[in-house]
Amino acid sequence: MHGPHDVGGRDGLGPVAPGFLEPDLPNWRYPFEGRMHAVTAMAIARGAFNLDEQRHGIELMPWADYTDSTYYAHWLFSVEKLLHDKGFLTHEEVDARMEELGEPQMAEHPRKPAELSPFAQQMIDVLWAGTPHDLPAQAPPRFAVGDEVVVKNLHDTGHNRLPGYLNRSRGVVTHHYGAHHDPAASAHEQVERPHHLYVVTFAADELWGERTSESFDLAADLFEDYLEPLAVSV
Amino acid sequence: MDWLSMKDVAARINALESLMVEKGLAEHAAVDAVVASFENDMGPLNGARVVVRAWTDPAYQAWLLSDATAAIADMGFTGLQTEHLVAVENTDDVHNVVVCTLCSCYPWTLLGIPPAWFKYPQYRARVVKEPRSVLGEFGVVLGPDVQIKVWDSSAEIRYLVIPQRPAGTDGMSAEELITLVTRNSMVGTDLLTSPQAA
Repeated sequence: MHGPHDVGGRDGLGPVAPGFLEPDLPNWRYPFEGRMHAVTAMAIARGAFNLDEQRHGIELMPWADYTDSTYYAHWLFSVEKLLHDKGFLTHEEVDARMEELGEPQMAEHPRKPAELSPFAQQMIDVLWAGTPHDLPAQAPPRFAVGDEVVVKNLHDTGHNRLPGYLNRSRGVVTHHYGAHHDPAASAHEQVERPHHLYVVTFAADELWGERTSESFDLAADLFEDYLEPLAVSV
Repeated sequence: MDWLSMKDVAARINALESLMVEKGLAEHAAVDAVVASFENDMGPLNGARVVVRAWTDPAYQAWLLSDATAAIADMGFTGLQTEHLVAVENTDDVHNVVVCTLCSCYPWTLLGIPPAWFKYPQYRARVVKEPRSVLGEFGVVLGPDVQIKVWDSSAEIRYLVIPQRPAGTDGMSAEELITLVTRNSMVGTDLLTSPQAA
């Protein structure tokens, strides 16, 4: 879906905030950011929801809230919604707990405990193992490197990984990664469905018109069903 | 709930963690452990080790460029968000820069948690449309003949930019070279300078 997260090419956002360019700015500026990140990873490891559902939850945040709020507010919105919708907890419980606990006292830069519980060890193991996303293909690829393709004009309201600015653009397949799990099937059906994944390379003037001020190439990772062969006139 | 209030967001995340612990989805001490791992064990020092090994070992460089996932596994750096890695090399002719326009995809084990500028919409919106102008905001000025290649990591492939080795560093040890490699240079928003010029 082309929700508030789909910002590629939007105008009017202004320069990169100068304060963000300070080289010594910590990546987590507030203790709640790291904790939000960690509990999200845990919910995924426990099977409460998957990464694609978490991303889709962020995409469903109302535009004005998404645009104005901070990054981990997006995560909070999505994780709370998922846990509520799936029956792990309710929004009302979070309201009540928030009231009860009041202003949090969170340690800055917590230390790793000397003894890790089995679950803590499992989480550290997940951090250093990862969760691969590739799958055996179930069908031959439709495209090969060098093929000219055009991105379909897709406006699905569910989860996918097609940036809106690529709709209807013509490009060239420059790599085939094999099959990865399809993000829509993962987000909406919680199944791993193999889907061929390609790098498609676009010219700047194809994306932004002949009056574009800069010349460059843009490569994006796109699933097979987002693409069709460029029609060749005979 | 005021999503725009940092105070409210902090308090609500605290409440959520508390409830998740109660429901068996999280443990407070495990949260500490995960946060500490991200803050101390994952970060650009890992990426810099990969870059310097590529600079100093042509066979490793070739491996990294042909199969980065395996090449970083050899150094113990496989993990969340580096399950599928591609390394792209900056040269005199080509400058690569990475973005995730849809969210904030970033190779965590090699570079850590993404910096704020990578996650907020200004960079994400504009680097796919006017990369030279955006790079200028980072102080990166490229010659007119340098071809820019922007990578929008829209699936689960993560990209690592191999910055150019600065001139005048031939006699430096690997440990000295590692100190020259900045986080931003591995995303494509910095050029490395030789220590004499710095």
